[in-house]
Parts: sequence; C-alpha cells; structure tokens
Amino acid sequence: MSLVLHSVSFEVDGTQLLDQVSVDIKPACITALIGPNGAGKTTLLRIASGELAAKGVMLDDQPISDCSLESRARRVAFLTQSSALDFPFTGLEVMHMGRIPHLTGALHDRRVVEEVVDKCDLGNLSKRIYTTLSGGEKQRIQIGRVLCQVWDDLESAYVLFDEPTAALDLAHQLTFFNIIQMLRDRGAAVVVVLHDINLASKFADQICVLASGQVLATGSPGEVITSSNIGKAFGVSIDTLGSPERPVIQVRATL
Amino acid sequence: MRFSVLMFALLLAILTSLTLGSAAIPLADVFAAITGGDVTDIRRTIVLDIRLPRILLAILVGGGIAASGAAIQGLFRNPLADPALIGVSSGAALCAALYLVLGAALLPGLTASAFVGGLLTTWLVLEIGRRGGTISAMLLAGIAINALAIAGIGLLSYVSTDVQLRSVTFWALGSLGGADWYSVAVALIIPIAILFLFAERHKLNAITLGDQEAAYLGISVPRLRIRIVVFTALAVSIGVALTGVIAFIGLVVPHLVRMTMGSTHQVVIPASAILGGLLLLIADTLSRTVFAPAEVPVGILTALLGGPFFILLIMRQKGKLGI
Repeated sequence: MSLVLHSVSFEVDGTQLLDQVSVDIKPACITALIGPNGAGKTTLLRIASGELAAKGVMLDDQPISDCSLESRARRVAFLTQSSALDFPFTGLEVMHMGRIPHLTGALHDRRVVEEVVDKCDLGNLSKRIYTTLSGGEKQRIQIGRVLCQVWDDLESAYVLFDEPTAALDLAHQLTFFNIIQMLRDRGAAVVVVLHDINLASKFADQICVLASGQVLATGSPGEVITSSNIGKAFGVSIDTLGSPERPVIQVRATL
Repeated sequence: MRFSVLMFALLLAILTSLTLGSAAIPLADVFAAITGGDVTDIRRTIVLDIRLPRILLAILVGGGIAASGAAIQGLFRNPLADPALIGVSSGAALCAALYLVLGAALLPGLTASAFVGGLLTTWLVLEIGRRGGTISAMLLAGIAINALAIAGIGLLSYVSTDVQLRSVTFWALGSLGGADWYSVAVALIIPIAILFLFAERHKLNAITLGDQEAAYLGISVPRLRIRIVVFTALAVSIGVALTGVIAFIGLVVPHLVRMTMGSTHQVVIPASAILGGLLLLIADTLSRTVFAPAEVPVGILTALLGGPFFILLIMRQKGKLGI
C-alpha cells in the first residue's frame, strides 16, 4: 500500500510549479511538507490527491487517475486551507458530509461521526451553528469532517492537511498533533503542510523540504532540519538546538 | 417547525381558500361539492372546476419554484440566489413569449419553449460565472441576463398583436388566473423534478463546502451542476409556462426553512416545496379576494412582499456578500 509521486512535474500557463518532484507517502507515517510561500506545497497535495492530473502519481502501483472519483474519495481525504461554507449547518451536519462517499448506511455513519466527535473532543462545537463559530473552531469541525471520511479504514487511508494549524491556538495545535499521531498509529498515511518548522521536527516521521517547486531534502527530522537546508529553502540563517533526532531551530537576528 | 405543522397549515389553507372568493361558499357546501353531496350546480362548478385546480396549481408551482430556489442557492453557494433573480424565470418567459408571438399558442409547445429558455439562461449564468471565477460573478451575470430577457420581452410586445400582447404581459406579471385541470395535469411534472432534486440532497450539502471539497468527497461537480440546472429549469419553466414569472418565492422560502428547520438539503428541499406551495396559495388567495371581484396578478403581490424581505436579507449579510 503506497502513494508515490515519481518525478512529477506540473506547470500552469508556462510557469513551472513542480519540477521532477519525488515523494513517497508511506502508510503509518506522518510526512510534513515545509517550504517558503509559493514553493508548491499546496500544488503537491492537490496532485497527490488526484485532483490535478499529472504523470507519475501512483496509488498502490496504479496511476491515481485510473481510480474513480468515488473510490478515491473513500481513501484520500483532503483538508484545504479554507472552505467556502456559508450556510447555517450545525457542526454535526458538516461532519456528516464526510460520510457522503460511503454507502454504509445512516446507522453506521452516525456511529462513525460520534466516535470522531468523541476522539476530537468536539461535543460542544458539533451542536453549534457552523457559521457562528470562530475561524479556529470552524477548522476543528473541518478536521473532524475529514476524519469521518476515512475513519472506517484508516489502514488504507491517506489524509492530507493543508496548513491545518494556522487558525488553531496552542492547546488545539497540540490536540491536532495528538490526533494525527493516533491516525498514524492506526496505520494511516498523513501528509501535513506546516509553516512551523519546530512543530514539523517534533511530530513528523518524515519531512520534505520544497523550494521553487523542487524537493530540496527528504528524510527524518534530524537529517533534514539543518542550517544548510533551511538556509537554502528559506534564505534565513538558523542554529539548531536540542536533540539531534528532532532538532529545534532558532533564527539568527539577521538574514 | 415540523413537517406535520407544515402539512397541517397547507390543509388549512386549502380549505380556507376553497371557501373564499367573490362568491363565499360555506365549508359544508365545499365538502358536499368534493364528496358529490347535495349542493347547487354553480357552487359545485366554482369549487371543482375553478377553485380546486387553481389551488392545486398554486401549490405545485409554488413548491417547484421554492424547491428550485433551495437547490440553486446550494449550487451557487449563495443564499441570495433565486430562479427569478438569476434570470431562469425571465429566460423561460422570453422563450414562451417568442413562441406565443411567432408560433402557435399550443400549450405543450409553449411549455417546451419555456423549458428551453430556462435551461439556456441557467446554463449561460453558470458558464459566465465560472469564467468570472466567483459566485458573485454568477449572480451579476444573472442580473445582466435577466435584464436582457426582460428587454427581449419588451421588444416582442412591440411586434405582437393586441391579443398576443395580453398574453405576453401576463408572463411578465405572473398570475394563476388561467388555472384549469389541464394546466394542473401539465404541472404534475413539477413534483417529479422536485424528486430528482431531492435525490441530489447529499451532493448539494457537499457542494456548499466548495467545488474542490465536493470533488474530494467523490462528487463530479460539472455533472452535478448539469443535473441541478436541468431539474430546476424544468420545475421553474413549467411554472412559468403556466403562470408567468412569480418572483421571490424561490428566495424567501428556503430562507424561512433554514432559519427554522436547519440547513441540510434533506430537510430544505422537501420543506421548501411544501412551504413554497403554501405561501403561493396564500398569496394567490389574497390576490383574488382582497380586491374582489377584481384580481391583482399574484406576481405583483409576491414581489411586494418579497422585495422588502430581500432588502432585509442583504442588510443582515453584514459584509459577507463578498461582491
């Protein structure tokens, strides 16, 4: 079971967004994507999800484009940066939308949603009207929805998060990472775009650094988080502190 | 608000409407007329051949417009979309008028022309909006197409004969005055279209998240779009062919439903259908009783009531419109 991007290139109107990118998205593994703005992180997720068509994306050794939209939706869930939802659904109703690709019956769907509500501590939010929630609260409901989509079969699931923690406070960021660790422990492949390099270093099993549409480095946090890699990708000078397996970065005062 | 309450209110409105009119008929006689009991021939005719078909037509047409409004609002992800506002109704009316002035006034041909008109305009609005890139672009495209269609109807009224002119004006205003059992039979296509819309309820829920998000939930958005456009055009155009343009029912009703019964399309579609039927029935009953024996076209009445409601909605959006 695997989702592999093999030497994937992608361009829009002559602009090269991704250039020969290879990433191995492994089951039971948290892959963090880091890189400066416009590096191609979101494009990579959209290609990995099969939404944007590109050569070289293989789901279980088959081109992902051969998968039907429905069967893909049962395995690959994607939380985008922002959702357009502007109708007064309850949180619970939004989470139920994650069950749309499944034909498992109302009873089972309700049980799945209840389990996710329980696991993610969404009891109170789920009863409220989505449009009245704050940005972070909305995000937590959306995370719940994405979990509902793949909850039955986490072992064959790919869960992609595009900057999920941007709107979350410190405590809920931590909750989010606990949730994705739980997903990983149950066998899911998790890909998460992060801006906070220290959070990536602390929680990811594999980090992929993207810059200008190219993979600069892939590997364990200890291998990837070096002053040389971060300097090349972000143009910022850093020092690494802490354990060599999961280093912490400190930015130097000047570029 | 529950479905049982809605159904009860609808029943009550039907009975009340049967008794009211330029000739008041007591409830006992209404029952007698329906059950074949002892009642004067003239009252039997009024109840069975004039009021009952008109009431049924109001319910069917109102239900079709409101359910279509609910579906279109979901599809456009905008609670301010309405079949009349985005030009579906006037597009249907334009093609109906074209047919009337240029072709023979045969009802099936008329309905088909209205359907083609409704289909074309909805499609145009969606396509222009897609190129514009935003939902607001779609709404604005709707306004433009609406204006074009109305101008087209205006032009046609110049080249039409006096008799044709009367019919063309009728389409612009909207009235249930022409109701008979034949039009009720044609209108039976509307509940079928509503059923098709209801079948898309889960997908409509998903699309409120965004086109991209809906695709991640396994939904082919372009195909869903086509189906919704066809079904709403069907429901609305048949209404337009039979009764003319009735504005604001499609806007107001789904709102009332969302405010009181929630937003899932599982509820919004059927509840809008019932409430839309109920409101159009009440409006039509008012339109034929308030100035009896004269009649105000019901489209004027719904616009008079719906206009202020729409303004209220815009003001309550508080910058969320994003136009």
